[in-house]
Amino acid sequence: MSDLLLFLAAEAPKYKWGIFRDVKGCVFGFLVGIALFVLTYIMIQRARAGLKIPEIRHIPGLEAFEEAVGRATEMGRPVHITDYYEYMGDYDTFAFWSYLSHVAKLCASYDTRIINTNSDYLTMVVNEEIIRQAYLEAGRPDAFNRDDVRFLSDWQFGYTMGVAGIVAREKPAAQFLIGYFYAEALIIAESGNLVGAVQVAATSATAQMPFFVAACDYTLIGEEYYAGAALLSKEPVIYGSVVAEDLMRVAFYALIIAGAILATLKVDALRNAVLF
Amino acid sequence: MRREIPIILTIVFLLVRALFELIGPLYDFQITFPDGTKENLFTSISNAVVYMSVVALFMGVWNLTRNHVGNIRRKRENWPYSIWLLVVLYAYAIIGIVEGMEGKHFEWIYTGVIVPLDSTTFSLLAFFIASAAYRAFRVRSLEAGLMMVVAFIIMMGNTSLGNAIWSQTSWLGGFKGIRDWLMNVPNGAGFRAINLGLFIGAYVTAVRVALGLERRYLGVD
Repeated sequence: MSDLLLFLAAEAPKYKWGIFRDVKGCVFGFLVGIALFVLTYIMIQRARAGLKIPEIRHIPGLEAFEEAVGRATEMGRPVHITDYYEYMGDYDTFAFWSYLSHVAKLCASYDTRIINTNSDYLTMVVNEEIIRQAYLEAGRPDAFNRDDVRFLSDWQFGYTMGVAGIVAREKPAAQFLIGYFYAEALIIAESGNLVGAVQVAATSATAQMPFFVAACDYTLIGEEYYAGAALLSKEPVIYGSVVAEDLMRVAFYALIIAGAILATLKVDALRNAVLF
Repeated sequence: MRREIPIILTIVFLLVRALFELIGPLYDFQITFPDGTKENLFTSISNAVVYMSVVALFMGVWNLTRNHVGNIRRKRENWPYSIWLLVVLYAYAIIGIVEGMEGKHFEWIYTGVIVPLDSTTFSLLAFFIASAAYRAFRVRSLEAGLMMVVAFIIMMGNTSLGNAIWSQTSWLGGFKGIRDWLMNVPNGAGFRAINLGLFIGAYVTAVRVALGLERRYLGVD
Protein backbone atom coordinates (compact mmCIF):
# COMPACT_ATOMS: atom_id res chain seq x y z
CA MET A 1 0.00 0.00 0.00
CA SER A 2 2.78 2.40 0.94
CA ASP A 3 4.51 1.54 -2.37
CA LEU A 4 1.33 2.41 -4.23
CA LEU A 5 1.01 5.75 -2.38
CA LEU A 6 4.64 6.53 -3.12
CA PHE A 7 4.07 5.69 -6.80
CA LEU A 8 0.95 7.89 -6.95
CA ALA A 9 2.78 10.75 -5.23
CA ALA A 10 5.61 10.47 -7.77
CA GLU A 11 3.16 10.38 -10.67
CA ALA A 12 0.99 13.26 -9.41
CA PRO A 13 1.66 16.56 -11.18
CA LYS A 14 3.72 18.99 -9.11
CA TYR A 15 2.82 22.65 -8.84
CA LYS A 16 4.83 25.56 -7.51
CA TRP A 17 2.85 27.47 -4.87
CA GLY A 18 0.00 25.07 -5.65
CA ILE A 19 -0.99 26.74 -8.95
CA PHE A 20 2.05 27.08 -11.22
CA ARG A 21 3.30 24.29 -13.43
CA ASP A 22 6.61 22.75 -12.41
CA VAL A 23 8.52 24.30 -15.30
CA LYS A 24 11.74 26.30 -15.02
CA GLY A 25 11.09 30.03 -14.91
CA CYS A 26 7.30 29.62 -14.77
CA VAL A 27 6.67 31.83 -11.72
CA PHE A 28 9.21 34.45 -12.78
CA GLY A 29 7.74 34.50 -16.31
CA PHE A 30 4.25 34.97 -14.89
CA LEU A 31 5.35 37.84 -12.64
CA VAL A 32 7.27 39.48 -15.49
CA GLY A 33 4.16 39.13 -17.68
CA ILE A 34 2.03 40.89 -15.05
CA ALA A 35 4.65 43.65 -14.64
CA LEU A 36 4.79 44.19 -18.40
CA PHE A 37 1.01 44.38 -18.58
CA VAL A 38 0.87 46.96 -15.78
CA LEU A 39 3.67 49.04 -17.33
CA THR A 40 1.94 49.03 -20.74
CA TYR A 41 -1.36 50.00 -19.12
CA ILE A 42 0.27 52.87 -17.17
CA MET A 43 1.97 54.26 -20.28
CA ILE A 44 -1.24 54.05 -22.28
CA GLN A 45 -3.15 55.84 -19.53
CA ARG A 46 -0.47 58.56 -19.31
CA ALA A 47 -0.63 59.06 -23.06
CA ARG A 48 -4.43 59.14 -22.92
CA ALA A 49 -4.37 61.76 -20.13
CA GLY A 50 -1.92 63.88 -22.13
CA LEU A 51 0.83 63.50 -19.49
CA LYS A 52 4.48 63.55 -20.50
CA ILE A 53 5.84 60.26 -21.77
CA PRO A 54 9.37 59.54 -23.04
CA GLU A 55 10.15 60.19 -26.71
CA ILE A 56 9.69 57.33 -29.16
CA ARG A 57 12.66 56.22 -31.24
CA HIS A 58 12.65 56.80 -34.96
CA ILE A 59 12.16 53.83 -37.32
CA PRO A 60 13.54 54.78 -40.77
CA GLY A 61 11.77 51.97 -42.66
CA LEU A 62 8.34 53.41 -41.84
CA GLU A 63 8.84 56.46 -44.03
CA ALA A 64 9.55 54.13 -46.93
CA PHE A 65 5.88 53.06 -47.06
CA GLU A 66 4.63 56.39 -48.35
CA GLU A 67 7.65 56.81 -50.59
CA ALA A 68 7.13 53.38 -52.18
CA VAL A 69 3.38 53.89 -52.75
CA GLY A 70 4.10 57.36 -54.15
CA ARG A 71 6.59 55.86 -56.59
CA ALA A 72 4.04 53.26 -57.72
CA THR A 73 1.51 56.06 -58.27
CA GLU A 74 3.96 58.05 -60.38
CA MET A 75 4.81 54.98 -62.46
CA GLY A 76 1.18 53.92 -62.83
CA ARG A 77 2.00 50.45 -61.59
CA PRO A 78 0.35 48.47 -58.76
CA VAL A 79 1.49 47.87 -55.19
CA HIS A 80 1.81 44.31 -53.94
CA ILE A 81 1.51 43.37 -50.26
CA THR A 82 1.75 39.87 -48.87
CA ASP A 83 2.43 37.80 -45.82
CA TYR A 84 2.95 34.09 -45.74
CA TYR A 85 2.55 32.40 -42.42
CA GLU A 86 -0.25 34.53 -41.06
CA TYR A 87 -3.13 32.70 -39.49
CA MET A 88 -6.08 34.15 -37.66
CA GLY A 89 -5.23 34.67 -34.02
CA ASP A 90 -1.45 35.01 -34.40
CA TYR A 91 -0.17 38.23 -32.88
CA ASP A 92 1.90 38.61 -36.07
CA THR A 93 -1.35 38.73 -38.02
CA PHE A 94 -2.64 41.64 -35.93
CA ALA A 95 0.59 43.51 -36.66
CA PHE A 96 0.27 42.66 -40.37
CA TRP A 97 -3.26 44.07 -40.46
CA SER A 98 -1.93 47.39 -39.16
CA TYR A 99 0.49 47.57 -42.09
CA LEU A 100 -2.16 46.41 -44.55
CA SER A 101 -4.61 49.03 -43.32
CA HIS A 102 -1.97 51.76 -43.69
CA VAL A 103 -0.84 50.69 -47.18
CA ALA A 104 -4.45 50.23 -48.36
CA LYS A 105 -5.33 53.74 -47.18
CA LEU A 106 -2.30 55.19 -48.96
CA CYS A 107 -3.21 53.33 -52.15
CA ALA A 108 -6.86 54.35 -51.92
CA SER A 109 -6.00 58.02 -51.40
CA TYR A 110 -3.44 58.01 -54.25
CA ASP A 111 -5.80 55.98 -56.48
CA THR A 112 -3.20 53.24 -56.89
CA ARG A 113 -4.07 49.62 -57.40
CA ILE A 114 -3.24 47.31 -54.49
CA ILE A 115 -2.76 43.56 -54.90
CA ASN A 116 -2.85 41.33 -51.84
CA THR A 117 -1.88 37.66 -52.11
CA ASN A 118 -2.72 35.12 -49.42
CA SER A 119 -1.95 31.61 -48.29
CA ASP A 120 -4.63 31.51 -45.62
CA TYR A 121 -8.29 31.77 -46.57
CA LEU A 122 -9.50 33.05 -43.19
CA THR A 123 -6.96 35.86 -43.14
CA MET A 124 -7.80 36.63 -46.77
CA VAL A 125 -11.40 37.41 -45.83
CA VAL A 126 -10.30 39.92 -43.17
CA ASN A 127 -7.73 41.42 -45.56
CA GLU A 128 -10.46 41.95 -48.14
CA GLU A 129 -12.59 43.81 -45.59
CA ILE A 130 -9.66 46.00 -44.48
CA ILE A 131 -8.89 47.02 -48.07
CA ARG A 132 -12.57 47.59 -48.85
CA GLN A 133 -12.86 49.80 -45.76
CA ALA A 134 -9.81 51.82 -46.83
CA TYR A 135 -11.39 52.53 -50.23
CA LEU A 136 -14.68 53.42 -48.56
CA GLU A 137 -12.97 55.91 -46.26
CA ALA A 138 -11.10 57.44 -49.20
CA GLY A 139 -14.48 57.95 -50.90
CA ARG A 140 -13.66 55.59 -53.74
CA PRO A 141 -15.64 52.40 -53.05
CA ASP A 142 -15.92 51.75 -56.80
CA ALA A 143 -12.14 51.61 -57.16
CA PHE A 144 -11.93 48.57 -54.88
CA ASN A 145 -11.41 45.42 -56.92
CA ARG A 146 -12.22 42.14 -55.16
CA ASP A 147 -10.15 40.23 -57.69
CA ASP A 148 -7.00 41.92 -56.41
CA VAL A 149 -7.30 40.15 -53.05
CA ARG A 150 -6.23 36.68 -54.05
CA PHE A 151 -5.97 33.34 -52.37
CA LEU A 152 -3.21 31.33 -54.03
CA SER A 153 -2.48 28.19 -52.09
CA ASP A 154 -1.92 27.09 -48.52
CA TRP A 155 0.92 24.93 -49.87
CA GLN A 156 4.17 26.77 -49.22
CA PHE A 157 5.79 26.57 -52.65
CA GLY A 158 2.49 26.66 -54.51
CA TYR A 159 1.91 30.03 -52.86
CA THR A 160 5.52 31.07 -53.57
CA MET A 161 5.32 30.39 -57.29
CA GLY A 162 1.88 32.00 -57.43
CA VAL A 163 3.30 35.20 -55.92
CA ALA A 164 6.40 35.08 -58.16
CA GLY A 165 4.12 34.69 -61.20
CA ILE A 166 1.89 37.61 -60.20
CA VAL A 167 4.93 39.80 -59.55
CA ALA A 168 6.40 38.90 -62.96
CA ARG A 169 3.11 39.60 -64.79
CA GLU A 170 1.78 42.62 -62.92
CA LYS A 171 5.21 44.24 -62.35
CA PRO A 172 4.38 46.09 -59.12
CA ALA A 173 6.44 49.22 -58.48
CA ALA A 174 6.35 48.59 -54.74
CA GLN A 175 6.30 45.36 -52.82
CA PHE A 176 5.66 44.97 -49.09
CA LEU A 177 6.66 41.65 -47.52
CA ILE A 178 5.25 41.75 -44.03
CA GLY A 179 4.78 38.96 -41.54
CA TYR A 180 6.27 35.58 -40.81
CA PHE A 181 8.12 33.96 -43.70
CA TYR A 182 10.06 30.79 -44.32
CA ALA A 183 12.11 29.66 -47.35
CA GLU A 184 9.81 31.51 -49.75
CA ALA A 185 11.06 34.87 -48.41
CA LEU A 186 14.05 35.19 -50.71
CA ILE A 187 12.29 33.81 -53.80
CA ILE A 188 9.53 36.42 -53.47
CA ALA A 189 11.97 39.24 -52.63
CA GLU A 190 14.19 38.40 -55.60
CA SER A 191 11.14 38.21 -57.90
CA GLY A 192 10.33 41.77 -56.81
CA ASN A 193 13.89 42.83 -57.37
CA LEU A 194 13.82 41.42 -60.92
CA VAL A 195 10.91 43.71 -61.85
CA GLY A 196 12.56 46.72 -60.17
CA ALA A 197 10.10 47.10 -57.31
CA VAL A 198 10.94 49.14 -54.23
CA GLN A 199 10.76 46.56 -51.47
CA VAL A 200 9.98 47.02 -47.82
CA ALA A 201 10.13 43.99 -45.56
CA ALA A 202 9.09 43.63 -41.94
CA THR A 203 9.36 40.27 -40.28
CA SER A 204 9.59 38.56 -36.94
CA ALA A 205 11.22 35.48 -38.51
CA THR A 206 14.82 35.75 -37.37
CA ALA A 207 16.01 33.14 -39.88
CA GLN A 208 14.71 35.20 -42.82
CA MET A 209 15.99 38.62 -41.70
CA PRO A 210 19.42 38.27 -43.40
CA PHE A 211 17.70 37.41 -46.70
CA PHE A 212 15.42 40.42 -46.49
CA VAL A 213 18.31 42.69 -45.55
CA ALA A 214 20.21 41.44 -48.61
CA ALA A 215 17.31 41.60 -51.07
CA CYS A 216 15.07 44.48 -49.95
CA ASP A 217 15.52 48.25 -49.85
CA TYR A 218 14.22 48.65 -46.31
CA THR A 219 13.85 46.02 -43.61
CA LEU A 220 12.19 46.30 -40.23
CA ILE A 221 13.77 43.71 -37.98
CA GLY A 222 13.05 42.33 -34.55
CA GLU A 223 10.65 44.33 -32.41
CA GLU A 224 10.62 47.09 -35.05
CA TYR A 225 8.03 44.90 -36.78
CA TYR A 226 5.60 45.31 -33.88
CA ALA A 227 6.63 48.85 -32.92
CA GLY A 228 6.26 49.92 -36.57
CA ALA A 229 2.76 48.47 -36.68
CA ALA A 230 1.86 50.61 -33.67
CA LEU A 231 3.60 53.75 -34.89
CA LEU A 232 1.74 53.75 -38.19
CA SER A 233 -1.25 54.81 -36.16
CA LYS A 234 -1.15 58.48 -35.24
CA GLU A 235 -3.09 57.71 -32.07
CA PRO A 236 -1.17 58.82 -28.92
CA VAL A 237 -2.57 55.89 -26.95
CA ILE A 238 -0.82 53.43 -29.25
CA TYR A 239 2.35 55.52 -28.89
CA GLY A 240 2.14 54.86 -25.15
CA SER A 241 2.36 51.12 -25.70
CA VAL A 242 5.53 51.54 -27.79
CA VAL A 243 7.08 53.62 -25.00
CA ALA A 244 6.30 50.77 -22.61
CA GLU A 245 7.96 48.39 -25.06
CA ASP A 246 11.17 50.45 -25.03
CA LEU A 247 11.18 50.72 -21.24
CA MET A 248 10.81 46.96 -20.97
CA ARG A 249 13.79 46.44 -23.21
CA VAL A 250 15.90 48.73 -21.02
CA ALA A 251 14.74 46.81 -17.94
CA PHE A 252 15.62 43.47 -19.56
CA TYR A 253 19.07 44.67 -20.58
CA ALA A 254 19.67 45.96 -17.05
CA LEU A 255 18.65 42.52 -15.76
CA ILE A 256 21.06 40.82 -18.18
CA ILE A 257 23.97 43.07 -17.13
CA ALA A 258 23.16 42.53 -13.43
CA GLY A 259 22.96 38.77 -14.06
CA ALA A 260 26.33 38.75 -15.84
CA ILE A 261 28.00 40.69 -12.99
CA LEU A 262 26.45 38.49 -10.28
CA ALA A 263 27.34 35.30 -12.16
CA THR A 264 30.95 36.52 -12.43
CA LEU A 265 30.95 37.10 -8.67
CA LYS A 266 29.46 33.60 -8.26
CA VAL A 267 26.25 34.93 -6.65
CA ASP A 268 23.33 32.72 -7.73
CA ALA A 269 20.43 34.66 -6.18
CA LEU A 270 19.29 36.37 -9.39
CA ARG A 271 19.79 33.24 -11.48
CA ASN A 272 17.71 31.17 -9.03
CA ALA A 273 14.97 33.83 -9.00
CA VAL A 274 14.79 33.88 -12.82
CA LEU A 275 14.68 30.10 -13.05
CA PHE A 276 12.01 29.71 -10.33
CA MET B 1 -22.05 47.65 -33.33
CA ARG B 2 -20.23 46.51 -36.45
CA ARG B 3 -16.97 47.45 -34.74
CA GLU B 4 -17.79 46.76 -31.10
CA ILE B 5 -18.87 43.11 -31.54
CA PRO B 6 -15.60 41.94 -33.16
CA ILE B 7 -13.58 43.77 -30.47
CA ILE B 8 -15.64 42.18 -27.67
CA LEU B 9 -15.33 38.72 -29.25
CA THR B 10 -11.57 39.16 -29.69
CA ILE B 11 -11.09 40.19 -26.04
CA VAL B 12 -13.32 37.39 -24.70
CA PHE B 13 -11.55 34.65 -26.69
CA LEU B 14 -8.13 36.11 -25.85
CA LEU B 15 -9.00 35.84 -22.15
CA VAL B 16 -10.36 32.32 -22.63
CA ARG B 17 -7.15 31.30 -24.36
CA ALA B 18 -5.02 32.88 -21.62
CA LEU B 19 -7.12 31.05 -19.01
CA PHE B 20 -6.61 27.81 -20.87
CA GLU B 21 -2.84 28.26 -20.82
CA LEU B 22 -2.82 29.16 -17.11
CA ILE B 23 -5.36 26.88 -15.50
CA GLY B 24 -6.42 24.56 -18.33
CA PRO B 25 -4.08 21.74 -17.27
CA LEU B 26 -5.23 22.04 -13.62
CA TYR B 27 -8.98 21.88 -13.99
CA ASP B 28 -11.16 19.88 -16.35
CA PHE B 29 -14.06 22.10 -17.40
CA GLN B 30 -16.51 19.72 -19.04
CA ILE B 31 -19.40 20.65 -21.28
CA THR B 32 -22.14 18.20 -22.13
CA PHE B 33 -23.53 17.94 -25.65
CA PRO B 34 -27.24 17.18 -26.35
CA ASP B 35 -26.34 13.55 -27.15
CA GLY B 36 -24.81 13.16 -23.68
CA THR B 37 -21.16 13.13 -24.72
CA LYS B 38 -18.79 15.26 -22.67
CA GLU B 39 -15.79 17.26 -23.82
CA ASN B 40 -13.31 19.67 -22.28
CA LEU B 41 -14.46 23.27 -22.85
CA PHE B 42 -11.10 24.41 -24.21
CA THR B 43 -10.90 21.43 -26.57
CA SER B 44 -14.34 22.37 -27.91
CA ILE B 45 -13.20 25.95 -28.56
CA SER B 46 -10.06 24.74 -30.33
CA ASN B 47 -12.21 22.42 -32.45
CA ALA B 48 -14.47 25.34 -33.38
CA VAL B 49 -11.45 27.04 -34.97
CA VAL B 50 -10.81 23.90 -37.04
CA TYR B 51 -14.45 23.86 -38.22
CA MET B 52 -14.25 27.56 -39.11
CA SER B 53 -11.12 26.85 -41.17
CA VAL B 54 -12.89 24.08 -43.06
CA VAL B 55 -15.79 26.40 -43.91
CA ALA B 56 -13.35 29.14 -44.89
CA LEU B 57 -11.59 26.70 -47.23
CA PHE B 58 -14.59 27.06 -49.53
CA MET B 59 -14.03 30.82 -49.53
CA GLY B 60 -10.49 30.19 -50.73
CA VAL B 61 -11.68 27.82 -53.44
CA TRP B 62 -14.41 30.30 -54.40
CA ASN B 63 -11.86 33.14 -54.61
CA LEU B 64 -9.60 31.07 -56.90
CA THR B 65 -12.51 29.97 -59.06
CA ARG B 66 -13.95 33.48 -59.39
CA ASN B 67 -10.59 34.99 -60.30
CA HIS B 68 -9.73 32.39 -62.90
CA VAL B 69 -13.20 32.14 -64.42
CA GLY B 70 -12.96 35.92 -64.80
CA ASN B 71 -9.60 35.51 -66.56
CA ILE B 72 -11.08 32.98 -68.99
CA ARG B 73 -14.24 34.98 -69.68
CA ARG B 74 -12.39 38.22 -70.39
CA LYS B 75 -9.60 36.38 -72.23
CA ARG B 76 -6.95 38.13 -70.14
CA GLU B 77 -3.27 37.54 -70.79
CA ASN B 78 -2.25 33.87 -70.26
CA TRP B 79 -5.89 32.82 -69.79
CA PRO B 80 -5.31 29.20 -70.92
CA TYR B 81 -3.30 28.68 -67.71
CA SER B 82 -6.43 29.56 -65.75
CA ILE B 83 -8.24 26.65 -67.42
CA TRP B 84 -5.39 24.36 -66.46
CA LEU B 85 -5.45 25.64 -62.85
CA LEU B 86 -9.19 25.01 -62.51
CA VAL B 87 -8.89 21.53 -64.05
CA VAL B 88 -6.07 20.60 -61.68
CA LEU B 89 -7.81 22.12 -58.64
CA TYR B 90 -11.11 20.32 -59.12
CA ALA B 91 -9.74 17.08 -60.59
CA TYR B 92 -7.36 16.58 -57.65
CA ALA B 93 -10.12 17.40 -55.16
CA ILE B 94 -12.50 14.91 -56.85
CA ILE B 95 -9.83 12.18 -56.95
CA GLY B 96 -9.14 12.80 -53.25
CA ILE B 97 -12.84 12.63 -52.34
CA VAL B 98 -13.44 9.46 -54.40
CA GLU B 99 -10.26 7.55 -53.52
CA GLY B 100 -9.47 8.97 -50.07
CA MET B 101 -6.09 10.08 -48.76
CA GLU B 102 -4.52 6.66 -49.38
CA GLY B 103 -5.79 6.39 -52.95
CA LYS B 104 -3.40 5.14 -55.62
CA HIS B 105 -3.86 8.00 -58.07
CA PHE B 106 -4.12 10.58 -55.31
CA GLU B 107 -0.76 9.46 -53.88
CA TRP B 108 0.82 9.17 -57.33
CA ILE B 109 -0.01 12.78 -58.15
CA TYR B 110 1.39 13.83 -54.80
CA THR B 111 4.68 11.95 -55.04
CA GLY B 112 5.06 12.25 -58.82
CA VAL B 113 4.05 15.87 -59.34
CA ILE B 114 3.78 17.91 -56.14
CA VAL B 115 6.95 16.67 -54.42
CA PRO B 116 9.24 17.24 -57.49
CA LEU B 117 7.65 20.67 -58.07
CA ASP B 118 8.30 21.52 -54.43
CA SER B 119 11.93 20.46 -54.72
CA THR B 120 12.34 22.42 -57.95
CA THR B 121 10.99 25.58 -56.36
CA PHE B 122 13.13 25.10 -53.27
CA SER B 123 16.25 24.62 -55.40
CA LEU B 124 15.66 28.05 -56.97
CA LEU B 125 16.81 29.42 -53.63
CA ALA B 126 20.43 28.54 -54.42
CA PHE B 127 20.44 30.89 -57.42
CA PHE B 128 18.51 33.62 -55.63
CA ILE B 129 20.89 33.46 -52.65
CA ALA B 130 23.81 33.95 -55.05
CA SER B 131 22.22 36.99 -56.74
CA ALA B 132 21.14 38.58 -53.43
CA ALA B 133 24.54 37.91 -51.86
CA TYR B 134 26.29 39.49 -54.86
CA ARG B 135 24.36 42.73 -54.35
CA ALA B 136 24.67 42.72 -50.55
CA PHE B 137 28.38 41.90 -50.38
CA ARG B 138 29.64 44.57 -52.76
CA VAL B 139 32.09 46.54 -50.66
CA ARG B 140 30.58 50.02 -50.77
CA SER B 141 30.78 50.95 -47.10
CA LEU B 142 32.58 49.90 -43.93
CA GLU B 143 29.57 47.78 -42.86
CA ALA B 144 29.36 46.01 -46.22
CA GLY B 145 33.14 45.39 -46.10
CA LEU B 146 32.85 43.92 -42.61
CA MET B 147 30.00 41.69 -43.74
CA MET B 148 32.05 40.53 -46.71
CA VAL B 149 35.00 39.56 -44.46
CA VAL B 150 32.73 37.73 -42.01
CA ALA B 151 30.91 35.94 -44.84
CA PHE B 152 34.26 34.84 -46.28
CA ILE B 153 35.38 33.42 -42.93
CA ILE B 154 32.06 31.62 -42.38
CA MET B 155 32.17 30.12 -45.89
CA MET B 156 35.77 28.98 -45.43
CA GLY B 157 34.90 27.54 -42.03
CA ASN B 158 32.13 25.50 -43.60
CA THR B 159 34.19 23.99 -46.42
CA SER B 160 36.96 21.40 -46.47
CA LEU B 161 39.03 23.83 -48.56
CA GLY B 162 39.06 26.25 -45.62
CA ASN B 163 40.27 23.48 -43.32
CA ALA B 164 42.99 22.54 -45.83
CA ILE B 165 44.27 26.15 -45.97
CA TRP B 166 44.06 26.83 -42.23
CA SER B 167 43.58 23.66 -40.21
CA GLN B 168 41.38 23.62 -37.13
CA THR B 169 44.24 22.06 -35.16
CA SER B 170 46.43 25.11 -35.72
CA TRP B 171 46.40 28.66 -34.29
CA LEU B 172 42.93 29.99 -33.24
CA GLY B 173 41.35 26.76 -34.44
CA GLY B 174 41.69 27.81 -38.09
CA PHE B 175 38.74 29.09 -40.11
CA LYS B 176 36.48 26.67 -38.29
CA GLY B 177 37.51 27.96 -34.87
CA ILE B 178 36.90 31.60 -35.88
CA ARG B 179 33.61 30.62 -37.54
CA ASP B 180 32.45 28.91 -34.35
CA TRP B 181 33.37 31.97 -32.29
CA LEU B 182 31.61 34.34 -34.70
CA MET B 183 28.48 32.21 -34.74
CA ASN B 184 28.34 31.56 -31.01
CA VAL B 185 29.43 34.91 -29.58
CA PRO B 186 28.62 38.02 -31.71
CA ASN B 187 25.97 36.32 -33.84
CA GLY B 188 24.44 34.51 -30.87
CA ALA B 189 24.33 37.72 -28.82
CA GLY B 190 22.71 39.65 -31.69
CA PHE B 191 20.08 37.01 -32.27
CA ARG B 192 19.24 36.79 -28.58
CA ALA B 193 18.80 40.56 -28.44
CA ILE B 194 16.50 40.40 -31.49
CA ASN B 195 14.52 37.55 -29.97
CA LEU B 196 14.14 39.42 -26.70
CA GLY B 197 12.81 42.45 -28.59
CA LEU B 198 10.45 40.18 -30.54
CA PHE B 199 9.04 38.72 -27.36
CA ILE B 200 8.38 42.16 -25.89
CA GLY B 201 6.88 43.43 -29.16
CA ALA B 202 4.59 40.42 -29.48
CA TYR B 203 3.55 40.72 -25.85
CA VAL B 204 2.70 44.42 -26.15
CA THR B 205 0.74 43.70 -29.35
CA ALA B 206 -1.26 41.10 -27.40
CA VAL B 207 -1.85 43.62 -24.58
CA ARG B 208 -3.10 46.20 -27.09
CA VAL B 209 -5.52 43.62 -28.48
CA ALA B 210 -6.60 42.62 -24.96
CA LEU B 211 -7.33 46.25 -24.08
CA GLY B 212 -9.28 46.76 -27.31
CA LEU B 213 -6.82 49.41 -28.52
CA GLU B 214 -5.72 47.49 -31.61
CA ARG B 215 -8.60 48.08 -34.02
CA ARG B 216 -6.89 48.28 -37.34
CA TYR B 217 -7.96 44.74 -38.18
CA LEU B 218 -11.37 46.38 -38.52
CA GLY B 219 -9.95 49.00 -40.87
CA VAL B 220 -10.18 51.64 -38.11
CA ASP B 221 -7.26 53.93 -37.13
